[in-house]
Amino acid sequence: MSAPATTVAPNRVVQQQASAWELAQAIQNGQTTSLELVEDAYERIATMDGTIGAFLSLTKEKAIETASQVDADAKAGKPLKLLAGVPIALKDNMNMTGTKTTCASKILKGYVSPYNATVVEKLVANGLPVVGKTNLDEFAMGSSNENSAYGLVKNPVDIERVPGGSSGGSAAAVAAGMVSLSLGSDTGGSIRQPASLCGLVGVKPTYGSVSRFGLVAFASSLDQIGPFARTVTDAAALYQVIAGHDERDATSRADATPTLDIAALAAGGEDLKGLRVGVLQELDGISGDSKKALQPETIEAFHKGLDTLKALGATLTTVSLPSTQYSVPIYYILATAEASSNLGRYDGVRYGHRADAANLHPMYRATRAEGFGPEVKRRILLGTFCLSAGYYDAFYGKAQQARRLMTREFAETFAKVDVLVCPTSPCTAFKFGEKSSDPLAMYLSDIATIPANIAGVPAISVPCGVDALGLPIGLQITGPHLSEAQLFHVARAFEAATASRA
Amino acid sequence: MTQSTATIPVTPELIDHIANLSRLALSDDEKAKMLDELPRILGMVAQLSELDTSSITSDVGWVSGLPADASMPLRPDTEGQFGKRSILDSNPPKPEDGYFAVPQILEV
Amino acid sequence: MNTIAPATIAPTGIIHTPNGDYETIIGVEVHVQLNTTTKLFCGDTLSFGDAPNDHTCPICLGYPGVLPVLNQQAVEKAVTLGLALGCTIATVCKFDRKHYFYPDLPKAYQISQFDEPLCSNGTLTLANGRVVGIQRAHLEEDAGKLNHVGAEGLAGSLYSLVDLNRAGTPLLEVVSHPDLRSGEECKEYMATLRNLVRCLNVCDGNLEEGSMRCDANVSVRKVGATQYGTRAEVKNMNSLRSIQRAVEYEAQRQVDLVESGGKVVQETRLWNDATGTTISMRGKEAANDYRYFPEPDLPPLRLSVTWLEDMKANLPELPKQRYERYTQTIGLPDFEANLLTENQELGDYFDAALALTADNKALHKPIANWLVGDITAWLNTEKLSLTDTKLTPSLLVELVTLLEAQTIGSAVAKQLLPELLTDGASPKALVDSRGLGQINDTSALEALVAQVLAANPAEVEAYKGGKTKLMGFFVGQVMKATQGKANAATMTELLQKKLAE
Repeated sequence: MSAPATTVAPNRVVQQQASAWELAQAIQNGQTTSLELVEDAYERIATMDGTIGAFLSLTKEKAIETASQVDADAKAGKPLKLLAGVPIALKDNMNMTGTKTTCASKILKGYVSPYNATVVEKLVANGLPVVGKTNLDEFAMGSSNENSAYGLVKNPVDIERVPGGSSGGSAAAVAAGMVSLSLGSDTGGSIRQPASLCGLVGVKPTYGSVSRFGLVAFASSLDQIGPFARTVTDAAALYQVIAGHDERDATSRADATPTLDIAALAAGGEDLKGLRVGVLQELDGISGDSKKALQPETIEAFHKGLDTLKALGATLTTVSLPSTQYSVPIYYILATAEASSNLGRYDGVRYGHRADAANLHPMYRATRAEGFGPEVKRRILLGTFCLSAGYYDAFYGKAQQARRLMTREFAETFAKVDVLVCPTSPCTAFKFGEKSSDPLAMYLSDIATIPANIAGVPAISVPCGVDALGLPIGLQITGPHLSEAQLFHVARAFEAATASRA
Repeated sequence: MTQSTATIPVTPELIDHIANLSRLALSDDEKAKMLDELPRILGMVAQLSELDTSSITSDVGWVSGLPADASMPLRPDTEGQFGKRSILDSNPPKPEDGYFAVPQILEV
Repeated sequence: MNTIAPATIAPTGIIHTPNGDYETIIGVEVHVQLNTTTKLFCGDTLSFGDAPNDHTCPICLGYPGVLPVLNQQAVEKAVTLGLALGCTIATVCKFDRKHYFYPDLPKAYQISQFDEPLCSNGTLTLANGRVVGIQRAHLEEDAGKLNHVGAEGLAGSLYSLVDLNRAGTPLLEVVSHPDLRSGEECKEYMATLRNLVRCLNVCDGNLEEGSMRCDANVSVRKVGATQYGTRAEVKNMNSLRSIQRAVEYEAQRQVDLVESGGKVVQETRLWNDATGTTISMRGKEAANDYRYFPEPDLPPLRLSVTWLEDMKANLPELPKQRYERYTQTIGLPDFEANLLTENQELGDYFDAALALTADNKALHKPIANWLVGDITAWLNTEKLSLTDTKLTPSLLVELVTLLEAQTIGSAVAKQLLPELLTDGASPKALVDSRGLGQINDTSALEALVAQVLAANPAEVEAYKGGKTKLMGFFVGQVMKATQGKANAATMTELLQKKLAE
């Protein structure tokens, strides 16, 4: 399966790889074994990850164990589950028994997961070998993976540039061709934005459709685990594996049992006749404000994407969701408030780093000062402020109302259109250090992705072109609650049409 | 008692207060940085006051990514998946005689 | 219980000073530990003094990535208590996070209910007629326990040890209005509430072990004043007696303070049972900003109206109702009815006996009599509870039946009782095999009476000379001669007749 590294541009570190769906078929047909795929993955990691920095730890033993079981089942003629045997990488904020789970933070130094996240149990049950844990922005807070306590992640498309964040490692691992699948988490765009910057498919599922049990919480009412892949079919298949109701997560939806027809998706050949597409006015690149917010080439690629949708038979209407102009403030109140609460448990008493101090409260202060990085501290302070006496109503209370308003605007919009489209990211992959000195500049990376988290609706980012430097641009398609089937259908048609026009 | 979001003076005292509530010790450098960054971030966040949310009349008690009519599932009163002391020895600090030890507790 | 009109309530919390009288105002917060099998949000079983941290899991230890899921039984028990207190049960309510840093709180927040409690607006009526308003009762998780090493308590300790067995235990916090007026009433409030929770089987009501914990908000004001005084919160009262003592002490302390020109400070004070004083914790609690916000991991709790109506209809009999049944339907005197109501085990036993004697109601009062009299006395001496003995309700019924039929006399019954309790033998079988039947035959008794009088001429003289108390002596002698089998009434009548001759 492995091919020599092709370097189209000197900064590009990518190896060709078949899609996960193809690999799964190959295992089914006996053309390869899961063990072979796992070994191949580790060879690629060995070749490329020194440069890329996608992985924080490798989980060889467990990967081989899972792979061996799949191969044994295949040999015995037992029916294999969906994507069985295909190696996958896991963002290092998901608990997997016996593995270090660092959340890219010093405060969890030495922490070894004593239990499995529900999604991990599903992966193992389906026979997907987890090859390693990937790098991220610390506690999933960031849009460039520059906030990791354990080093940068390079964008395989151009290693002088960021892969996006916070799931930078998961995106890079797939974009480089080390693995064909990975899981990330998305709170304000942390799957979709890196997918856009790395030229991948990335999905933030409907809130509540994938269990959060075992995902280290950043913002409880916004977090969702989702897939990275190079193709829509792969992403859909992985979503099918991980989604579903979980009793251990009280926010898990009882009606979230997807029944996607992956084979049909793989076959393709569908058009979009009758599809009503809403173009988000606030980010359409036509109005003055949106022109200012978006990179010109992004606008150009986006408009080409709209043409593609039209050519496929969709009807386009401009729709306005005025509350989305306030996405960033709403998000940075709600998410930081919840984060400040969720991160209180990191106090050095029961696990993780503990500072040396003679007394308790100084020990707390020193542990957290030593353990957390600057962005995490910034957000904890901001979040604590928004919840504090005297400020709660004006900040957290107001943000709650705004959230209700935005949710209503989405519902009203989806009464008129089937899906909503806009560019995923305001810009292509930027260089290291370009935005990291100004938190506000970094926060604006998420203007397009945040609304879906606030409303809890699903959204997918698909590649829709590159800029003059060859840097990927993504198109975001958003749908109503539990409309993943429709999203994959639209994305698949778009993917096929875009590939043929490339 | 609610503050107008438009003019929040970010003083060293406010930063100290919030840092204390969060049990975060800030170095002088960090405090200086916060004094610089926090007003701008708060300014951005305070823009939210411009959004007219008066049409939201229902009591916004619990808001989430779930539908507004979401309901809490209950679990039966039976012993769960984790056995006795199932994870206690999986991470340091190793409990001494079964206890977690913490340093002397003085006033805050 | 509620037969006394409010006007007769004696407010003993009045404190006299040369400057006038003060009254004591108290509101009480009681944390009731629900006796579910598992914790509120995770499947750990509850601990009863087990090895530290034996009952913990990633969820109640606050590990990264865990989530809470609410225990159905905890909700049912909470609703049961709320309904028994006459509360309105919320059909929709939510949970909130209450934030503070302390080693007994693993997540650095407690999942509680802030502004939407499960229960609200109830009452609890005391024996003296006082109707205490229940403001609210809400569900929340308990914290763990700290052992401070190197000192009696926190002050002066060298370091502390954390045991999280208790962390996550379900609590129902019951908050009263400030309707109580004395330390004694507070004690009574707790006793009544304890009785209720035991009767409903929602809590074992053990104050000493901490399954019911009480904090009292105490203030004073001049009698006749309408404004409330500043209140202090008193904690660490671990028995009914210390609740009364602590409240009385604190009220007096506040009056003394005010009378000497001082001002009562709103603060938390710890009761010290040994010194009999309350000590300020001021300084240990910097202004706590709990930063309450709705718990994002738990959607709102929605209870259906039909389910609530079902719960209400299926409430176990409340102590008040049981008391009324005993006094009004059975006709028991107040003292006995109270005892059988307060001691649930005795009451349940009595009810079982009632069921066995449904068509022989004449036995009911005697059965009650035996239970609260001789049987309770025996149990107290032997330090046993009724369920430890072999005396089943049907055996007691058998004994009382024999008594009422005059087959045996009360002396014989008392003789047999210990054996019945320890061996569970049938009273009828024992009476038959040992020939313990009561001697009812008049002529036989006449002869015995004549014998006894003949054997004691001096006492006969004394009796006839005016020492009528000697009747007891003669009765005793006849009883001795008959091994207690003489029919007491007949025998006494005969003695009187003979001595009158």
